[in-house]
Amino acid sequence: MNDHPQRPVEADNSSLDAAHLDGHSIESLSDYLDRGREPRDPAIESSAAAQHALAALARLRAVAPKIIVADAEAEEFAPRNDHWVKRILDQIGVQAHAGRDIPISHDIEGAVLSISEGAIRAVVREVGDSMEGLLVERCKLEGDVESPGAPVEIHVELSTFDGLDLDEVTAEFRERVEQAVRLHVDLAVTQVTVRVRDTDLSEEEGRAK
Amino acid sequence: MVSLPGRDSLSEADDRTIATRAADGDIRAFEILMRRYGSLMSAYAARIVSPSEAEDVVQDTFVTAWQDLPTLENLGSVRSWLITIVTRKSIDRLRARRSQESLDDHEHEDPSAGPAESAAASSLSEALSKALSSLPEDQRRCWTLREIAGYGYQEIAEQLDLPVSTVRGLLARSRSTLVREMEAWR
Repeated sequence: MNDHPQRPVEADNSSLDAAHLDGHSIESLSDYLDRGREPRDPAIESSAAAQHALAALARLRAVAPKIIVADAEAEEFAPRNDHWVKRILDQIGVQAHAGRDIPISHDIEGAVLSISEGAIRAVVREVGDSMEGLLVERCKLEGDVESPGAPVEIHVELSTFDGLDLDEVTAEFRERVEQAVRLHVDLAVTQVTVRVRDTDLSEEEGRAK
Repeated sequence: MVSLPGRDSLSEADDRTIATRAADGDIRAFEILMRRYGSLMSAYAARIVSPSEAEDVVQDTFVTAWQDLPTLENLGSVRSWLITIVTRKSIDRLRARRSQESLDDHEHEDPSAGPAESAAASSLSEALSKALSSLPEDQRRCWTLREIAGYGYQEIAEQLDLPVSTVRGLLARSRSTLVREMEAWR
């Protein structure tokens, strides 16, 4: 099974060839390496052949993660087409993580209309996405969203890019969130707090109405 | 960094940001995550199951990932978290296949097993990737679980229903082949 005549398997001169290991085995040397070469084994430490083999095993271990990354870049393992993404998306469906139902007031007798919490979170994300230089990471509705008129707070975590006027951007963002949410549901939004990644602005910046 | 509307910068965002959004229910962020790690998951699964089964394993992996993402505490470590899921799914697949085979009572032929590609590799990791492909299936699987997934000997033995001594032997042979390849490359 060898395509490389210059590297005959029979005349193995690898540093792991059993004949060259001074009586040690690949198994015992691998175990020794696994233990972090502790406790020190003089028989291994004093054998040049064992040292050489240990170095080779350590090098192989270091390169191991790169092998799978190289695999991932190889044509052999590349997805043949984009169908796999679509198949998974179809399977997980957009309704997952929908959260609670938020009632919508209406005049239709006997009907119960609602919108999911997840849909409102998507509205908040969309507001962020439409603005330059910021990304909504997480959004949480706090309060009894299932009871019409109950006070609700919207907590948003954002990441932003350098060079933005944070005060200005977050103020505009809060305003837009309130408008957008009001357009969909009649939640009594009492506060929109914005927490910028690693910088908690919610206390000073959260604007109570 | 160029300031862009959030929707355009999302695909450039780091793992933590994307995973946080996906955990929050953003399916578009999850799609970016799938595209980012799809080939890695597939390459990895192919090392434990077989390339022909890898696609199904990857699909199972991402479906589970979508469901469980909200429970992931450190969202920045989503890559290694995905690796643990794909490892588990690969082993599940292997077990299912094995119980099927014991019913069918025939030897499974691994279509990927065979001599290494003769095309020259352009890097050490590529050469080792080819050498890994040329290993017998059981050696390749043990090596991947040990060196990539970080499983212990005992754990591999349990997951693969093999005696620990067999796992040690398979690992020794795979290491020996890969080291020879690595030294030939130098």
